[in-house]
Amino acid sequence: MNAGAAAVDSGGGRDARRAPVDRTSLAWQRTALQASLVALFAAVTALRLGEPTVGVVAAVLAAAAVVAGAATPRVKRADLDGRDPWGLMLRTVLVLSASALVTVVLVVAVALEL
Amino acid sequence: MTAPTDRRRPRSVYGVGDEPEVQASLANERTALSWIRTGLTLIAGGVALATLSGFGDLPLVVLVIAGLAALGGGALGVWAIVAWARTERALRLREPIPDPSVLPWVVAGVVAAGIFVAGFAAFEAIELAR
Repeated sequence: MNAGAAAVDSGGGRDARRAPVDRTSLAWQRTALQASLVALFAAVTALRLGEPTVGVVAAVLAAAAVVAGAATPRVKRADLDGRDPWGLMLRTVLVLSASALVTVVLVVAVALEL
Repeated sequence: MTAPTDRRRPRSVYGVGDEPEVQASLANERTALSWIRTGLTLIAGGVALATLSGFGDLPLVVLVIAGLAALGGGALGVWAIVAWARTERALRLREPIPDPSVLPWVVAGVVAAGIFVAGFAAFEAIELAR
């Protein structure tokens, strides 16, 4: 392990060495926010197209994305135990996959109406 | 080697090799998040096309593109998590990191969709001008 990593791991050096940790936390926030916005967009679209069930599912997804973003740890990521993004990634990809599914349902609904 | 108290998952990643440099590991995480956001953008594009098709009189092929964009976005999310695991494992084993094999496909898809939309817009503009 190099000197920079050791300084981050020990919790010291709250300066530029902490930047990658903060940058990663911000990337998580950005991703969760974008997931929420996409689901919200799908919810509004579904409601305007007269698909209330799909709209409610999409709205629940948007709320889930907000919760996923809020529950993302922002501190201690530099510690060994905190550097474990697997669960967070699975949760985010689940929201994304469900959003994709909702969109496909929307597309099929629109196609049936045409 | 890995500490015996290390309970992180998946074990296929954290059960092998040595702890990599913190910055490299975090950069790998951010790259995966960027792929996830790219997938989300594709899904948003699919929703936008579905919206337009619902309100306008657009050909069915636009809806097909919307569906493909949404499916592609979902697939990209799954690929992001697989690529993260492969890269993290390579970092731990001090091996060369895997190439972004999906990148040419994403670029080809985006270029194809862009050409189609541009062609469609030009066709509609010519029809309006007549």
